[in-house]
Amino acid sequence: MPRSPEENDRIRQSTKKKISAAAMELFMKQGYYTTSIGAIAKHAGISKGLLYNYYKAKEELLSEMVEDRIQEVVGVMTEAISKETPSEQLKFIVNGAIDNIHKKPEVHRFYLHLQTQPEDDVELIKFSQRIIEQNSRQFELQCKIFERMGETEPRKRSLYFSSVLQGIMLMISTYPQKFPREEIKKQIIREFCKESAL
Amino acid sequence: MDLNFEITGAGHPVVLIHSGGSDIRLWKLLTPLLSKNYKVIAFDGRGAGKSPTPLKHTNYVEDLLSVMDYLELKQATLIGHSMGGQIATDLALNYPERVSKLVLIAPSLTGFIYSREFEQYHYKVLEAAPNIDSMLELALHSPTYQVVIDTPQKDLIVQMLRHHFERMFKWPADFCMQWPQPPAMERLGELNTETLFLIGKKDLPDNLRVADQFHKVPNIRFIEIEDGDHMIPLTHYEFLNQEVTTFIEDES
Repeated sequence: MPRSPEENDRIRQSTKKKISAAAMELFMKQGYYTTSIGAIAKHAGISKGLLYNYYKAKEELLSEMVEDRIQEVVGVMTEAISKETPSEQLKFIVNGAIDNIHKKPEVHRFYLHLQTQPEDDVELIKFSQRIIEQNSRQFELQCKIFERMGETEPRKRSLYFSSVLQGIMLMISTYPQKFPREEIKKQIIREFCKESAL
Repeated sequence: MDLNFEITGAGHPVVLIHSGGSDIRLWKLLTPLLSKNYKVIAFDGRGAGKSPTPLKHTNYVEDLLSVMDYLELKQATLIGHSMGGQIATDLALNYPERVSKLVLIAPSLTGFIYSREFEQYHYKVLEAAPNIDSMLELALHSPTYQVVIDTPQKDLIVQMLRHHFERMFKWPADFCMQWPQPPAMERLGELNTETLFLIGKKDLPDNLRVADQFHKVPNIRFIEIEDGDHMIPLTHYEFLNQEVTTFIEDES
């Protein structure tokens, strides 16, 4: 019997978090395929047997990470859409995306890499597809923002915006030290948000 | 019935319900004394000791009832410690005909809102997971164990806690406990079973506040143990045996 009503749930959550953080670190540092379950357990400071109580396979860990990542992106978009004007919505997306990448460039590199797996990699390609499919859903929401802004060709404008933002994100994760983040943020906001002068 | 149990002695049946974080070994000092006069039934709760791992929903009250049904105990005296006391109270409220007398040792209480300090203590211990050694160190650093820690029973406490943490890692992630509704705290006035309530004066403030709630019980006697922490079954087993025996034998 647990010592308090919440005990079991919390213990499981905190252990899972530790395992998942250790796996993420290793996946990023040495790659998915070269990381073994044993290495993850060791890095998380637990026994391999205990790890198997939480995750049956390495793939399960990756799958959970991908779902968490998707939730994160959905969360940013949901909050953005809750802002009043389309300009504020876009600003929120820009700031959210760029600040996140600045904080954890290696995480972005990891997911970017996952999205560009060779088609024949059956183990990983389903995760690529899952991320891409989610991204296009978020893209539709973004198109609505440009519609509200009164753009004559909202889809094209939205696509152009994403291309610029994705480019910035790639640059920051590749050159995290030298990138003039704040200036570029201002630049993209000025370009796409109509009331930027305010 | 898939729970591990042990029966010692003969006579009027007395069922012992251990606390969370412990197991059947909690009673290893009391049982030899109590079983001189009674048929003592001790069992491992689901997820503890040698009993199986819990499924998603676990109802400890129904589990206790199934032990009693399996052993064909129409009526028994229940002795519950901490969460075991909570289970015993809930059983007595919902199946009063099955309980002859009730002994509660520093029980927890369904529906009682525990303090932030209490929550934070548990949270701090869990933060150290899965490192069981640090979990143990943090867990033992609590007023709960301030008396027992300096007795020869310290080792048993450590063993039971270690075992508890190890087992808990294997429980389902969505494990949750189900308690009878409405919660016992709102129904203590209806608890008609004759009750003996024991608590150590050095127990946690939360458990002392739970004791205050039990003043609503019509037929209850309180005993405060001056130098007792939360682990009375391991520190005051002789006293416990005397008081319980007197209580069971009292016909008034």
